[in-house]
Amino acid sequence: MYSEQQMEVIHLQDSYTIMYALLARQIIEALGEAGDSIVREATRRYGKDRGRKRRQKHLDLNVKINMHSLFAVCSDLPSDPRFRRDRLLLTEEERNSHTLICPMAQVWEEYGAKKIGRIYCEEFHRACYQEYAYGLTQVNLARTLTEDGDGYCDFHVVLRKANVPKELKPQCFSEFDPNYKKPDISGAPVDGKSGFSSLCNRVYYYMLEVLLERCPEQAVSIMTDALHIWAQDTAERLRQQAKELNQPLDISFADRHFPLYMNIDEDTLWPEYPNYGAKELLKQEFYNPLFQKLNLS
Amino acid sequence: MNRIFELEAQNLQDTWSILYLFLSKALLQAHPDGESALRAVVRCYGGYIGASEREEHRKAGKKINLANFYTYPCTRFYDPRFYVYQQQLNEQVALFDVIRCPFARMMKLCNGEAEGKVFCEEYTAACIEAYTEKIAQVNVSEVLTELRDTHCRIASYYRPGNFGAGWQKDSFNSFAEEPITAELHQELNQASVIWHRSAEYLVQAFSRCEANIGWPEEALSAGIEMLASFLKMRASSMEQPMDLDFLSRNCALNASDPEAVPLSKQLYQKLLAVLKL
Repeated sequence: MYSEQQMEVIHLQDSYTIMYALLARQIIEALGEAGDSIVREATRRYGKDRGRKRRQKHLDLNVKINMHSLFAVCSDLPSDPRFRRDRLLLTEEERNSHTLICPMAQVWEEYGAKKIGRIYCEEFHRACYQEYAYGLTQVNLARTLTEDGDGYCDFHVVLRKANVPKELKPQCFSEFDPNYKKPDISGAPVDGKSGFSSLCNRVYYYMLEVLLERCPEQAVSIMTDALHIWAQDTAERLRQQAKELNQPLDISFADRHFPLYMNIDEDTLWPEYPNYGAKELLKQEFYNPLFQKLNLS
Repeated sequence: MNRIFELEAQNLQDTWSILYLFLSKALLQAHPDGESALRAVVRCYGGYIGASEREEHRKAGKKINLANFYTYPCTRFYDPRFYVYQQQLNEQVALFDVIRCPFARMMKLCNGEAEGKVFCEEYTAACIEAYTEKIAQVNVSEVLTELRDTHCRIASYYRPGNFGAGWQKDSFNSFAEEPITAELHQELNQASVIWHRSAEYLVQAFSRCEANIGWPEEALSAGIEMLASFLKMRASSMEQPMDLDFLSRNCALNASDPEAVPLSKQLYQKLLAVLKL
């Protein structure tokens, strides 16, 4: 039995997972091989963006850039209670962990999108973790729950001191920075809403960006179709969730159980991603149909 | 049951492992930033092997993909003791559990787990990246040179979606993953040629560090003694004379090629002297 807060996190997590699958599927269905390539490139750009932002956050907090920090300091998401892990080792140099239950893999399977999930697993983690440590991380994900025949995800993510150039060592490991004082990081829980909202927006943004670069004439039309499909799915899921929780489906409920801010102008992320008319397209082709379907205004 | 060719292939592997180990130990001893240098050497060696496989496949008109990489090795020799569970192998995906690895065994026997682990962490990725010109993704999550691990897990992905135009001509038969019948195409009588070339690449990679260090004579001599002692033991065990012919069939280090790097020639001369050949 999950608490209401946990249910909110679960719904936010699932919406993000589903959104990735629906957008990717539409692009691949429309463009075939070129679509597969677009989704992979967009996933890498998104991963790099996320890795870069995490690194910057750690630098701002005077946290060392290493594997312990990457996996244990100021996560950009709250923990989904359905994840089950065997955390075998976490040091400054390496993280060795098995994910035994992954709700993302489960949702992708439920949506018949295991192959799309594979793209995510292959491209996102590598891009994100490598970028975080200046391209020096060795990312090994040699088993994944999105791969047929694998029973768990096997993460071995390594940043060897010996592979870090001399000039970066003090930034990465305290033993090379004699005057370093470890910052006192507040243990306040991460806000799931802004975290997942930021993830969804950035996945969408980079998919649109690569679509426009590679197929400029079809890009907006393909993304519009994808946003409509996502809006339809979101409406159905929100209705179902409200019914199960016996709560009215209003703006407040949608805001708590769905990643995107119901008032898009409240989302502080957009000024950082101002190109391609991305915000306007989202507003018109996702928000409007969604609000219409849910009779929200 | 081991046939004589199989024993020779095993000896070639073991002598290569000893060569790697003593050169690693010498480098760690001599270089001010030893582990960094060793990792760079292993990546360089992996790059030589991967580029050589690519070149051989190109010459033979083979497509560059993971199925061909694993089933048509030209510069890597599969020791008969090597035991692998193959979960999946096709043009795009290679998933393996290595259950028994003679390299890891030799590292354990010779107190070389740390040097062995460096090799495992750097080699495969560098090799396959060179073979695929950095398109494939290589994941090695567990390695037998790490005490807590019970097997090596190696997963590689080489996707046409990451390849750009020309994927079909150069690398794949189809965009979708297709199952294949994978069969190793390698003969035991190729072992010595392949191991000699492989050892030469290894010494070449170590030679790149020479500008920064002077090789410690004692460490090199101790390494050659170890190699000689192993070869004598194997010759005796196989009831064969320890002569140049045995050496050529059982020892990876072989500087008979006039193009061999000076360090190779120097080590080989030392070996011949110790073996009184």
